[in-house]
Amino acid sequence: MSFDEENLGPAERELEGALAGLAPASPTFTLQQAQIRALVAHERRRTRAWQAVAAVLAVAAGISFYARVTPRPEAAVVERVVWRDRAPSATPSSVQAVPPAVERSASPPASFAYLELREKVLSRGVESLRAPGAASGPAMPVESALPTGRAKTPHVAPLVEYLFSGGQL
Amino acid sequence: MFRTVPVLSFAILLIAATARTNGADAPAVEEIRLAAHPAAPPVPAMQYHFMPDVIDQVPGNAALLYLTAAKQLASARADAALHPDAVAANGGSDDERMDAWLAMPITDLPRKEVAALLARYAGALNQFRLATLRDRCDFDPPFRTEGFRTLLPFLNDARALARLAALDARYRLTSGDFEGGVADLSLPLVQAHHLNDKAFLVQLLVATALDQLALRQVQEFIEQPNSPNLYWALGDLPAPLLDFRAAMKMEAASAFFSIPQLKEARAGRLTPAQWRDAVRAMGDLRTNLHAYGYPSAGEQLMSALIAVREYPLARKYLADERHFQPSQIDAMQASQVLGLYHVGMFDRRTQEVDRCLTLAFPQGIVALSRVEEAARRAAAEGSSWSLLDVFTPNVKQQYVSLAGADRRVAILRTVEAVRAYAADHDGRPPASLDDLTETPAPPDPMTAKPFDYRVQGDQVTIEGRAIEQAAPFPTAVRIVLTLTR
Repeated sequence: MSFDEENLGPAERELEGALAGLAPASPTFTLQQAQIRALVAHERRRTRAWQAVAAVLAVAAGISFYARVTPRPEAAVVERVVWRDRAPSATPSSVQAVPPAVERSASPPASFAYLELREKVLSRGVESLRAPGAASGPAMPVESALPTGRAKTPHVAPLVEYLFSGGQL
Repeated sequence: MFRTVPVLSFAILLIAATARTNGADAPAVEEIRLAAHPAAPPVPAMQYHFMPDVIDQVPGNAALLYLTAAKQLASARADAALHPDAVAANGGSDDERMDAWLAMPITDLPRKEVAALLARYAGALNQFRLATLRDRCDFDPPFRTEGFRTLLPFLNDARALARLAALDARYRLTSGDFEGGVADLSLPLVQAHHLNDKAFLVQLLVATALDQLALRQVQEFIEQPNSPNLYWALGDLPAPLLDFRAAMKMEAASAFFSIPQLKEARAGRLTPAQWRDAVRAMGDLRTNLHAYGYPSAGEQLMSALIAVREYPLARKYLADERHFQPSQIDAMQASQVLGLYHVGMFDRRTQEVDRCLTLAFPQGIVALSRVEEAARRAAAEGSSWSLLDVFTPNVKQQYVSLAGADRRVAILRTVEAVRAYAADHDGRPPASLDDLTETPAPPDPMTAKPFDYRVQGDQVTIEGRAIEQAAPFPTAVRIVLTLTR
């Protein structure tokens, strides 16, 4: 199809004339407005990104909160009686030369309850022995009965000092 | 400039605080002021007594009754705590009110409220009374198998029971019931005596606190109008009140109970593998004592480094003091050499302390001070220390504390001797303690000499001086007695 102006038909000439008579309408927004709209559109994209991040964080926070407040189901305790044969008693020939107490102590030591108690009493006085449930009233004047200082308590620092001072404590 | 001002201010405040602290720590004389009337000793002499008469004693073990009393006390305490409104209306819990009532003068006691509280604890007090009448007390703690792992739960409510008895005594004194008052005050004193049997150090410290609590009430007793003379009753108490040497032997033995290999180590009978266990257990004990947890990697490294440092000392000890041949020492594993050394040093130290405690306090404190000084010197020279030394508490401090309770008994007995003299001499006090012939003044247990004594009119001053070797722990005590007509 050719668009040679010389060969236009009457209808086309009429259309040409009509089109030539058209005048451009005035724009509905200025260049400044266009720039502003472009800026807003650009910023909106960035805002959307932050909104997405916030939403993800909110969901994560919600999940973690739910996980904390929801009590975990306790492990079910199943009690049952297990019958087992009595261990064969040691024959005299199986008794070792080492006393049983020595064997026992080779296991990891349990809590040295007395030492903890002694430390507590020596540092805080007998008032610290007040039974659980008893209110903590004014301290009894036990100064005359109890020491005012602490027992000898070695710490790592003195040991370091000892080690690097050629045995001087 | 602006930075300098606050720094300077802080420094000044720090110096001021330090100066104030130092001032507070300075040894001071504990002064007790008493106003009492002359009083002749009772007839028969032992009408009042703090230890149960053999006739009144019941055969059997008091331990279960003490535990029952403690259980009843805890139950009554828990019942009271169930009514918070009543607690608030009363101005505090039962324990808080008891503490307040024990601290106030007897004349200020709110009798009605005290009676109501005592009524709720009557069951516990009754069991307590029954316990003190038993002729023996054995809580049977498994210390020989458990050592430092032993639990002493019977100490928890010991003081609460004693406070209850002391409050009952004060209540009785408000109505002039002196016989009942003495009977109540005997409860903590007998309880302390019972705790003295096969005691650990902590047991003894609790027992001392019980004694001191009762003796403070005796001071109040003496001040009451028409109070009888307790000269012979105070003489009824054991002297010394508690056996410090036995407790210290128990502490030392507990190291061996806790690590049984150490006992075998004394005879050198353990295998190298068991030696390693023993040395490791010693390290665990030390760590458990001070950190209550598993040793950190740093601490373990430190232990290893210390072991390296100790090894030459241990070899020297075995050669010089245990007379091992160098070839024998070379044949030993390092842990065995170290174990023998530490056990030997610990044995030596505990026995040095023990020999001091065989002496009376005035000689014992001098000897103990020398031993402690020698130990410090030896440690400074790097020639004597043991892993197990850390299990030995501050001996001197506890020794002085217990002797202080004995001194308290003696000085109160001297007060009663003066009251007895005054009753026989128109209310006049003796010019000197030598004048006390019928009721002789006891010597000061801390000096083995008579107390210092001064008279000014109707006022006498009886003083036990500060013990130089006991410093920095306060020992001086003074009673200023005003004789009333």
